[in-house]
Amino acid sequence: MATAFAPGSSEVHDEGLRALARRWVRRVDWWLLGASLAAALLGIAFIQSAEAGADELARRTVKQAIFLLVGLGVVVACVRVPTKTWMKLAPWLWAASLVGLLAVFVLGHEAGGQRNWIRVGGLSVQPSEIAKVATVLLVARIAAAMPRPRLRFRDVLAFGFAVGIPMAIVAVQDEGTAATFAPLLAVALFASGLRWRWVVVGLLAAAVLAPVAWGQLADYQRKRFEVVVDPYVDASGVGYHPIQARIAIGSGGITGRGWGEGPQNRLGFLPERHTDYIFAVVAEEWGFAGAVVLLALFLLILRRLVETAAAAKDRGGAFLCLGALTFLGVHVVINVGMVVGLLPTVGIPLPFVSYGGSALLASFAMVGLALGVRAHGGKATTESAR
Amino acid sequence: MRSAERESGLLARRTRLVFWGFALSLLVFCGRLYDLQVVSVEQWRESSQANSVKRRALPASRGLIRDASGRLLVGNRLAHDLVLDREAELDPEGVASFVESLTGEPREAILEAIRVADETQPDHVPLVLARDLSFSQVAWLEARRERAPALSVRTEVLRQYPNGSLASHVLGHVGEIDARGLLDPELAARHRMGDLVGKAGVEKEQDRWLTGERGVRRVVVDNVGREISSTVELPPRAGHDVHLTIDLAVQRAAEAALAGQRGACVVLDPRDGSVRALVSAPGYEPEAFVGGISDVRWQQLNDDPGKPLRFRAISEIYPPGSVWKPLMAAAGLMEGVRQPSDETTCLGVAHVHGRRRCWKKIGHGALDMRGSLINSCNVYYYHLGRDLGITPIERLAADIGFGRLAGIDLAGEKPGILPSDPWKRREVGERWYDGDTINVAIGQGFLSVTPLQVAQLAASIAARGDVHRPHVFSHAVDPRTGEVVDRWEGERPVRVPYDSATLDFLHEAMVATVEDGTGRRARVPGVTVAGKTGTAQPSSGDAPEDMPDEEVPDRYREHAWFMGFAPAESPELAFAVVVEHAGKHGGEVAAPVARSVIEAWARAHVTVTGQ
Repeated sequence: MATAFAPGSSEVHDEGLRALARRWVRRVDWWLLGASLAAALLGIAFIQSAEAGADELARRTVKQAIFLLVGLGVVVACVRVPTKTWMKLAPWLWAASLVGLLAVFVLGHEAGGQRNWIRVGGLSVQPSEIAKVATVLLVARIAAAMPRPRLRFRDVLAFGFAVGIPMAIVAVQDEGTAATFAPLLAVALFASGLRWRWVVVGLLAAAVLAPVAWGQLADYQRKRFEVVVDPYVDASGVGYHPIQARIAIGSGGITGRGWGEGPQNRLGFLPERHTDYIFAVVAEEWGFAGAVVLLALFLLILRRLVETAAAAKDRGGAFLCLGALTFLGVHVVINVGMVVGLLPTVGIPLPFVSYGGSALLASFAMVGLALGVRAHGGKATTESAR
Repeated sequence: MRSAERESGLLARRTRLVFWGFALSLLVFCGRLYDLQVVSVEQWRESSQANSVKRRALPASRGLIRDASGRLLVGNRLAHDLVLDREAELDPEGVASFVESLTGEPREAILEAIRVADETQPDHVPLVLARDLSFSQVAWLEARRERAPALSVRTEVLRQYPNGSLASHVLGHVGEIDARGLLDPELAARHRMGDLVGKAGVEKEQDRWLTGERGVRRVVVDNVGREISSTVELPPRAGHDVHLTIDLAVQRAAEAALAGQRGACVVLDPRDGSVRALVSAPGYEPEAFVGGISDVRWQQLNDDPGKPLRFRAISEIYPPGSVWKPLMAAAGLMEGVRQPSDETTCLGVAHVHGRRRCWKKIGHGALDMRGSLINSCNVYYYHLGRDLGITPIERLAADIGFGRLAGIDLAGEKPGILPSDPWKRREVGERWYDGDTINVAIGQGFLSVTPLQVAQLAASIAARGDVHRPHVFSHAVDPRTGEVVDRWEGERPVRVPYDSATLDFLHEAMVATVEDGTGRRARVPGVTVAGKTGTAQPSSGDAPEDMPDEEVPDRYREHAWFMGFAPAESPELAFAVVVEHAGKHGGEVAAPVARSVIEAWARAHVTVTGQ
């Protein structure tokens, strides 16, 4: 049974540095780390394309690269710190992230018409990203604390609060980001043993409530849905983004227009091209081939997370990996779905690839935590698996 | 352990389920990508093109207008216009405010212009919001591109008038074509909304030749409409240059001589009807119309008491006064009512169908016909008029061209009034009285003529009976090849049935008028000038006799006339000058204008004719 590494452990002194390195090499899921790194590097490449092409090194490229390095540091931190430590810290981290979310109302400054950033010493931080990670941790902790594989009412409440509170706070300003919390709750309940009948009831309830919800939507929100069916309904307004994205993607063809060469990108027709719509830049410049390769990378990341979850020795670790899987999966599906025009426009970044320090770090944190689960033998709690 | 296994089994199963949910979604997305990028790639490539590739019109420069020697009368220069792309997504309020800060034009006017354009014009036609921006304005706009991406600068070719107000009425001016103009199918065929089109003068009459063909420019633009690159797809074809018969030196001399006065001067070549000079004073600056005349300026021009927009030379009618007398003399001779030697005694007053006076109060004494012309005696003609009757006078006048349009190739000509019994019954409701004839005999009464018609009279005598149609157009040239694409085709001249002896007499008498008579101030050394002076009472009537000269209001002042031809032995010029409400005799103020004209012509031509 592997124990967590601690500085000064006798094992380290006994076996020497080479053994230490070998052990590390064995313990790290290189496929997972590699795919994440590859995606992040791709992101940097296309941020550069979106900003300046081959002309000069863009400021944003440099910033993202710095965040990448920090992100790798985060991975190291997440791996080295034993998972059970993270579990113990979960509620505190979660509470701290709530403070951060609330602070946005007071200290927040606007960017892109939304106030969800705080400036901390010259950097823009998005507390909602940190909150997502903290929530995943807390959910895993709650799941780990469940005595049996049966969902009790108090478990449902616990999950509900853990996810619902940050979601509600975020929803005040950013409905799109708030929406990414909901799947976490659904998956937590589902994976904890929610009976299928409840799943059916839930779906039916959703179907019944949908028209009510539709009526509650503001005009512009409704337009976002209408525009999925036919973006030309509002070609110069809400439909503009989907139309430009489609043009960018479609005109990429099979092999693309070439890095830094896509006219939709270079001439500025594609909006948000270094953030939410970066996938369209990849599709325009590297074509169908490039887009599929990127999707394959994501699929690989998700697959490795599933494997890690399966190999986890206890509930907490498995849930942590599931949480990471859900977090990354939801973001990828919503973002790519939006960019290709099958889902309504929501301001969700593409993990690892979109420009944005907070999101990049959160993504690396998720992967780091999952790597940590594997590195520590899947032991997320001091209790042994039942 | 069992529950743990079952638990981990459940967890593992459901985890896998979640994973496959994501995987399936990604697969669907791959299908979507395939549809977009493989199946419909052409359509999307086209849309990408449409985003960034636009076609813009390349304006063609308008043809130049030159005088008979090829000297430039109207040229072109470049200007920058502010153009609104109405197909682009735009916020009219924002655009209007932006344009107001740029040009000072009030926001409401701009919003109105946009609204009108949206209602009357298809979207793809750009709207010109301001013309002739200064260089600093263009720079200001370019620095603030993103604020109004639908605006752009279009380079345009504008008219330039190197000679100021010279020949302004003849040359005319251009202006933006309006909706009414586009109703004319001929204009609509070569013009689009916003194009400059000739509005008056030669610019209008020869618009067909002067308008070029616009070209096409292919530009790649970015999302704010900034041009990234541009290629010429179809080069524009410049309009043809139009050459006029006008002689710049003669025109200039005539305008200078009429400066500060109101009146007109017409100078023709009696051999073929070419117009050498056509002056209407005061004139106006055609430059004011370039880029669109301001309402203020337009109002000023219309309110100006000098009426600078009136083309007096062909549109204003006056009583001819004594310049009518040669026609009377010709009628008298040809009807056999007078011989040149027949005398009439002028005592300053005559009773011929009313008490009438001669301008010389003490009278001229006995005068033969030659003397009557040289001294311009009224009494002679009172008697002649009575003896002739209106019919032969009217017939000869009609032959020469009075009472109808001379047919000059400029718009706005008036036919004047050649009175007769039927005319009077129709227009005045009375029959013709003998007294009316007497008035006509000295070029007064109902008789009204344009300066052009008087010049035609002079030309008819100069050309010994041949009256050609007057024209300013000479030929049109393709500026690239120099090829003449159109030339004035002379028509058969109208023949006035003068007889030879009458013509000889008139020639001699009119030369003498200039040598020794009232036309002395038209003498030009080295050139034999033939002429006749005239001083016409305006139709408003006479001022009270006892009123001192300075106090006589303008409308009672007489018009001063002079008409004639030169050189008398082989005339190349036939002219008519009128100075409106001069209050002085024709010999005093009108004859010197003719002198200036002939001098200017002589300076250029003396060597050619070897005189």
